[in-house]
Amino acid sequence: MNSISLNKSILHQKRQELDFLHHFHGLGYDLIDLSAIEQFDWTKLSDDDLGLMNNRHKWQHEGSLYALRSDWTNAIVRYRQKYQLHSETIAYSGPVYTQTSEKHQYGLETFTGDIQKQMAVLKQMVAYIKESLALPLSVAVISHNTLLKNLLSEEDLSDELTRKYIKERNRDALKAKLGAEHPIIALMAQPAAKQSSYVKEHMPHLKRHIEEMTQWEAILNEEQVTYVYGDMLALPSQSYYKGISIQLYAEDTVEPIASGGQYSSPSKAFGIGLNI
Amino acid sequence: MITIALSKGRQLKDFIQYLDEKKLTSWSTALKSISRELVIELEDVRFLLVKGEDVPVYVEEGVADLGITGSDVLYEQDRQINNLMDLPFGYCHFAVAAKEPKDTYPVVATKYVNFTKKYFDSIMQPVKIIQLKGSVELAATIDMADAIMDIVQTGTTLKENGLYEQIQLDEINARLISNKHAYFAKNDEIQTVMNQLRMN
Repeated sequence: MNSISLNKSILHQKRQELDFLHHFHGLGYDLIDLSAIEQFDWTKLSDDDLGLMNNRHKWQHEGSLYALRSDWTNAIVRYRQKYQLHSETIAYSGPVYTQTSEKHQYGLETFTGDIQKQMAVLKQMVAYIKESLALPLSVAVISHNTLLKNLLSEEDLSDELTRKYIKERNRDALKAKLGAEHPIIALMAQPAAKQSSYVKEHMPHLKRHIEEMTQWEAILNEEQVTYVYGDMLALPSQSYYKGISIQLYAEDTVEPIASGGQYSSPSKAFGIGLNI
Repeated sequence: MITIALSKGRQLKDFIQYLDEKKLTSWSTALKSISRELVIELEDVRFLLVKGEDVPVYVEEGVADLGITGSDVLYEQDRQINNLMDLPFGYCHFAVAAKEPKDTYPVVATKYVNFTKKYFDSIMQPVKIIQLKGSVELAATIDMADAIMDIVQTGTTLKENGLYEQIQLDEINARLISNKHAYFAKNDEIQTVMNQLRMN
């Protein structure tokens, strides 16, 4: 890349970040900025903290554990567990780091259990992607983080191999592990597009979850996302993800352009982040 | 249009034979006709011919929607892909091979570092693993290692190098894998391929 296009690219990226914050501040969101370095107390690490540590860049200094921010929602959850945050809707932007890479996340969070307000945040984010970033959305995948908790025992749900087989849609291996009669085996045999109707018909105790997913699917259909799928086999990455989870894909991209969902820590909330 | 990454070599021959058995002759005819091409395009499918170990890379990156490779390859690589289905070819197994049986094998040479580490951890034996890229048998033949961990089909190569299978481990076969995004975005086409290739 020559210096002229590099200059343009850097200016474009900085302008895009500023535009994002201006845009959502204009829509009534409060802006938040947090340190990219997070401090942990060895004796107070939660299971969620420990679960993320493998993929985080971390170090120890004078008896404390420090890690670079790896996910904005996680950082905000931790902030809200410690301090009061009076805003109902916030917007943020900043880097997140894994062991070996850096990404820029722009995101929105709303701290309310009111589904209509949560859906309004999703709509605003979709509109921003389509109109301000000019990226058409081709696929949305919606899942419900409590579905599998209802289909699997606590022991199976925490088993590393079972989680791997579910994540990889490896029905043969899961069948050998859980038995051919396990309800998840029959569910996995259904094409992705038919899994939600299969759950509704054969697992009436999960009907409420499917109806919740349908509500969110309707929003994305209204926003003219080309394909909207319900994924019955999503595994929550953090224990505080207890409701709807959404991934949005732009055309010809492998990684989701945006992902988010409902969570409960310390109170009900919804967040969605853009990965730039 | 769906793109499928295939392993070149023996697994490709096995796949063509399986296509013939399943009467998928348009695919098998096209694949039989290749000489050095790396991309074959038909009306409804595009095949990419790559090294077996690279199949999961093309699929994870989304260059290919589907891929066919051995379960041994998938075991070694921690890729973000869907591991969808068994296919009835490419059968072989992992094995510990050495000149003669021993109680322990403290030094093991292999291409399969992850599998070897997990196996020796599971039997609670410490092991020094020497990673090699090929001709693994040589390491045990010239006593650089006490044993090798490799995949074995007939055992002929082992015997030719004065080695014998000591411990037979996990079975290996070909697997159909998919890109995580394509699994949803092209689910109808992927289901069609799965139904066509599914074992009876």
